Amino acid sequence: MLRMRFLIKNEFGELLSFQSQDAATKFCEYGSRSKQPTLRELAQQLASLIANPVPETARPQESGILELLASNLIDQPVRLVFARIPAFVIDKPRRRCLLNFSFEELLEDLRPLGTVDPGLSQLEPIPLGELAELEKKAISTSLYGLMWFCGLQFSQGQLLPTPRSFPAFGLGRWPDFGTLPHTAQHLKMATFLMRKTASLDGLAAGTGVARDEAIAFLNACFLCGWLKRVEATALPASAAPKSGLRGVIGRIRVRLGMGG
Amino acid sequence: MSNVTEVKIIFTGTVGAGKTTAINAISEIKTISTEAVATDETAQRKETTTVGMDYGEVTVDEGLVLRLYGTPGQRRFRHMWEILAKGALGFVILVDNARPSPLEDLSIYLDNFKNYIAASAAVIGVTRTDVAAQPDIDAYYRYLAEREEMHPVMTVDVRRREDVLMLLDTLLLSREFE
Repeated sequence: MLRMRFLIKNEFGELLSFQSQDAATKFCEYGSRSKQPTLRELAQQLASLIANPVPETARPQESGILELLASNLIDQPVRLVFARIPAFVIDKPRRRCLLNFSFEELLEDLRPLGTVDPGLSQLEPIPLGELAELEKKAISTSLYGLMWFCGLQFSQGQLLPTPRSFPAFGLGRWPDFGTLPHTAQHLKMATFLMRKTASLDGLAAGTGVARDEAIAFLNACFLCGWLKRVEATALPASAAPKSGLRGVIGRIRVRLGMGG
Repeated sequence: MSNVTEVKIIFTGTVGAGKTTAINAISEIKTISTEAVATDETAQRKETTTVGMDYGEVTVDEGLVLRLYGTPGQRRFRHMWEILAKGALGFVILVDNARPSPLEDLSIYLDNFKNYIAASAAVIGVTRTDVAAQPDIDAYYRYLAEREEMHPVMTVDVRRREDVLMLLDTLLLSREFE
């Protein structure tokens, strides 16, 4: 599970930090018996927070940056403070990241993490006013770039829990391959899923792409919000072109050096 | 009698969007262009413009030739568009994002080639996003959704051969998987 620190301000405006839920629970116990009304109120508020945790579906099921990005913990603008990588802001509603360093540096920091817990220590919601201030001094970059990178890099042959429950897949739109790094296989899978719906195995079979690569592609599309749940594949996913075009397209693609 | 199969792909879009450049990037022959000195509002964007069409080709093998046609950008040459469009394998629509209303520009080509695109496929390449970032790709997809159409939209720099190949590959795969 991701490590999160419980934070609450005391009556002096100091930020109290709890390394674990146990510590926070102890604070509630002591606080509720305090003679100071403010402290009692704080203890009650914290107890309420602990008693109403984030719904289980909102929690990442496993550790790792991929699960964090797939969770609804980042549905609102948040600052992610990590132990192992520099902090940055994800503004999902506006599909962007705000960084104090370059996007390339972020990817370099993320690359060695794999499925390792990145050591998330804080996840701070950012008020709109602060967001406006951050915009002025931070580097803004497309969130799609981060999601795409993480989906392709960190899938490790495992579909994320939500797409794992999809009977079949479709795509709502093509990824912008003009800005996203890609291979010929990505282009092929995207076009396939825009034209047809398919299960994971159907996608792999229909495009001739390795299963692990198809999984990484599906995760990346899911994180970007483009993957669609399809209840069932109406037709077997066949890559056979119309008879009139049979072979012609393949010959053109080979001549122009288009892979896959 | 010739046994050579001919396949046609159409490059269309606004003046200055890069149709001639895109064909140049792919064609194995020197692109044949019918250009003239621009005399109307086009003159503000480029010195010469295509008034008839561009033509390039790729010999795929001894039995197959890919013909690349660029339509004239100006609407007054619209009659040419229909002639070129007949029998095309697909359409590459290039939209200059630095023009005042790129989405309206796009609608002209989607409307004009509607029946032909419905029978084949289209891919939309958005150029000059380095000059004008808006509308972004999401806005293009929202616009297509409003029209109840779905085509691939990609930012491209048509001076880069790999970007033009990406558009063509998407178009070809769209036909392959239909």
